[in-house]
Amino acid sequence: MTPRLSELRAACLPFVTRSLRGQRRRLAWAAAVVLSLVSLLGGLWLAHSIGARPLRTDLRWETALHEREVRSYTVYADTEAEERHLRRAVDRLARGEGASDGRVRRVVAAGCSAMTSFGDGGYAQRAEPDLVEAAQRAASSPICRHDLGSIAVPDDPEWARLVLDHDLVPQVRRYTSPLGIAATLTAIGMIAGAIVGLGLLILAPLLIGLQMAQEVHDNTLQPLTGTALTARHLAVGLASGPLAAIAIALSGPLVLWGIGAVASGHVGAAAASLVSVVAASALLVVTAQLVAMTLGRQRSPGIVTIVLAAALGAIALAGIALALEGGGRSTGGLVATLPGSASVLTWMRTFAPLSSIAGFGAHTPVMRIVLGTGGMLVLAGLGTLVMERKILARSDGLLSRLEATIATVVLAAMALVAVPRRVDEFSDVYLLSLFALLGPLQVVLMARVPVGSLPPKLRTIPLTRLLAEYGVALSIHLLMVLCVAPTSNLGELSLGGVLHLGWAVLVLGLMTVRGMATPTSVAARLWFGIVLVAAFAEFGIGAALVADGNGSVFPMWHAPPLAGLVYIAMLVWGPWSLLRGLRRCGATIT
Amino acid sequence: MHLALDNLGKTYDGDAWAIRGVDLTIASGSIFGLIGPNGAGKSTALRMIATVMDPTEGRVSYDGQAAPAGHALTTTEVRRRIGFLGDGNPLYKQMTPAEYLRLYGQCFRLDPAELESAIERVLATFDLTAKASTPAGELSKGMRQRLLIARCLLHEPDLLILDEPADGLDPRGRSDLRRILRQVNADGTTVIISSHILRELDDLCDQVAIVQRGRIVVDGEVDDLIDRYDVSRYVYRLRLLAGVDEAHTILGRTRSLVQDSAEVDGATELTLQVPGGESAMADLLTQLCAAGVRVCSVGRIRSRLEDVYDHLSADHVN
Repeated sequence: MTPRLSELRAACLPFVTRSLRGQRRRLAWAAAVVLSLVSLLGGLWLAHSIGARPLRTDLRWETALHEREVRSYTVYADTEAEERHLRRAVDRLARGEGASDGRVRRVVAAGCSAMTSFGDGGYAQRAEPDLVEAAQRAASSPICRHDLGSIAVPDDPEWARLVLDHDLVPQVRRYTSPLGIAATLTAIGMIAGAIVGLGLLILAPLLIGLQMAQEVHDNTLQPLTGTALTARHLAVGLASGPLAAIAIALSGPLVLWGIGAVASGHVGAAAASLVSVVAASALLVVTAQLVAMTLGRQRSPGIVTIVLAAALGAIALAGIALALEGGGRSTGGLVATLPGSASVLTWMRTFAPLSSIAGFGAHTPVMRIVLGTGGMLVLAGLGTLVMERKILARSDGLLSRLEATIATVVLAAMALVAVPRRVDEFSDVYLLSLFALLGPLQVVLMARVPVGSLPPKLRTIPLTRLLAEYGVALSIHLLMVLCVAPTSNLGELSLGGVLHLGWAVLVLGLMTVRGMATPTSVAARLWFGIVLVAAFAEFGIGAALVADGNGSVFPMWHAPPLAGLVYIAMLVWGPWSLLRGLRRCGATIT
Repeated sequence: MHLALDNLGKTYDGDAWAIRGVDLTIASGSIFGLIGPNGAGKSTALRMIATVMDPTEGRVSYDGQAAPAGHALTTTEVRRRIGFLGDGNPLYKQMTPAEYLRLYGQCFRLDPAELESAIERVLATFDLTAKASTPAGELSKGMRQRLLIARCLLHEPDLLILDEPADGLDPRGRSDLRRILRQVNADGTTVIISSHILRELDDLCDQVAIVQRGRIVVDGEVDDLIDRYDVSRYVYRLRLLAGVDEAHTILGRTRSLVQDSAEVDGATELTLQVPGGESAMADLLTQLCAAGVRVCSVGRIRSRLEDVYDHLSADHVN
């Protein structure tokens, strides 16, 4: 075993042992059996039950029943009673009494339409003379004399021969699913894949976040920090415990997923789905740990769990909704960047022929998914570093300058990936991606503020350096936009709009540094809220000016003078109050 | 393990210092007691020594090995040599003692075979073998405290740091703890212990430091401290067969202070503080005898650590 693997094993062993102690290991295996059974039974139900027929039809696993009935010139009964009823209807039809059942009538109408079309010359040119003759005879038979209406029929002489072989009287059979063994395995794999996805994307972050919240709230984390495990070991180890139990519970469905993927013939899509699910899960797990560690000090584990469950549920629902609609022109990029969404999309591509229809997922090309997945993996790695440093509570920043730059590049790339493909003007690409990037960029900036366990008054806040780094991050984003977006309208950008945007972005950065570096009172938080609203308003004004280019630089030009004065005061007082708050807390500002 | 604390200090808010300017040397293989009232900074000091908290200033060196000032030395090698029981460390209520010890043994990277024998050993040492499979939430407070201490000894550390370890222990448990600590110390482990119950530390510690308002007021060998502060405060016990009232009258005229008066086996025993050394006591005795007080015995009571502490402090809380 390599030293690195040995270290990893040493870090995970205590927590895996703890998670699987006593009955817990058996419970995990029992869960594996139950979930495997659920996958099997769910798959069998999906593949063969009458109740799941609409689903199978929607998923394009089988043709619609009415089409199948026409194609096979057979009417299918779901129950014994229905079969008896249909047989009576068919018998009456054979006796020339007409079709009393709607479904029988539709099938017969198709048959009669086909026979009639021989006379119109449709089949006649391609069919054998004997078939044409027989069809013309049949068209005038008592069965076709009733008004059956007209219906589209398969343009196939062989089908016409089948109809004639049955003397225009449809067969009656009990319905059975047309899916074979491979399709059944695919259905089982689909259910199993959904279980694995839900387990890794929702259950794992939730359990790991809950555990972290409990450790922090009950103060059981501190004794662990005094052991021979490093902070990095603890960050990884604490996640490994619940993950081990979840991995055992999901082992059965995972195997069934693999079998289903092979049976579906889309092993590549399945592998992509697995990688995507693992990357999204890693990011969500680390994020849940960080949130739980931050909130767990002030809030009970129950509250933290509710917050996490709500957030994960919202992400999952949004991801599933975006993926199921196939990632349209507006949302194709979001599918690639929203954790779990690409997993659902690739899962669909693996198992559902629906996804192979034209247009499905066309706006989420492989490259976008690869970028999104890679970005999530990098962010998960950086998140682990942040966790490690949070556990250490060192007074340096949670990310080094290089790490923050990497995070910025990745986030900017993901923001660009998320921009809809129909957006092709430089200003629109820049503004949309900047809007998507600003929030995550504040998180990176927070991780650069050196606080740790040092009291606020003893902190040295390198404000100039932090703002310079923030500026560099924004420049990196601008450069990336310049590289990927057409720059034809670059010269038309409004300078006034850029100034408004600059103010909004600067104030957001100042708010982040101020909030992170010094404690905030209730009044300060209220003021933060007002400044935040002002920043968003300024961003909106700036964006409108940049996009339009003809608006007034001073948006309060037509407003009452008092409103204009308040606006100007806000522009000055907002950033100044944040700077003053930083200085008043006693920290050294450089 | 030999420890040197160099100007160690910690502040949580930047204004008040939980503890500051701590310069101490703790000899390898000694038992060091940290005494002080609540809020004096003992727990903070112990956390910094145990490497689980960064100091705001200063450093701690372990056998000459130290991190830069303002940082805890967090190397795995050092931590494997430390056993730390912090103040208010809780247990996982659903874990049994054996499971809890196994978790910590693995965190200290004990070899699996060595770990199982170590678990059995400490469970036996702390009389928890019968409760090895009982969830910690169902254990009594004393048992939980014993389990916490057992966890600190599991990996046979060179430095054992215990913050108020006698909390929740009954008299028997305290007596057992002292025995165990002596035994551990006899094997060469350096022990640092904090306690409010000074009698627990009196005949256990080699060295003590008294902390007041985040500062070390005094530190040194226990015997040296007692001798140093005994000089100005001689305490005697007189056993009187008759003339108790006369004795009180005479004592009232002197600078003596009657600390206690009790009837024991038909005689009155007075506990006195007589400032001024043994000659002052000799003069007082002469006066008592001359007044007809029947003194059948007199003996000097050696001061205890508690007396030194009372003398030095007024139990101010930070």
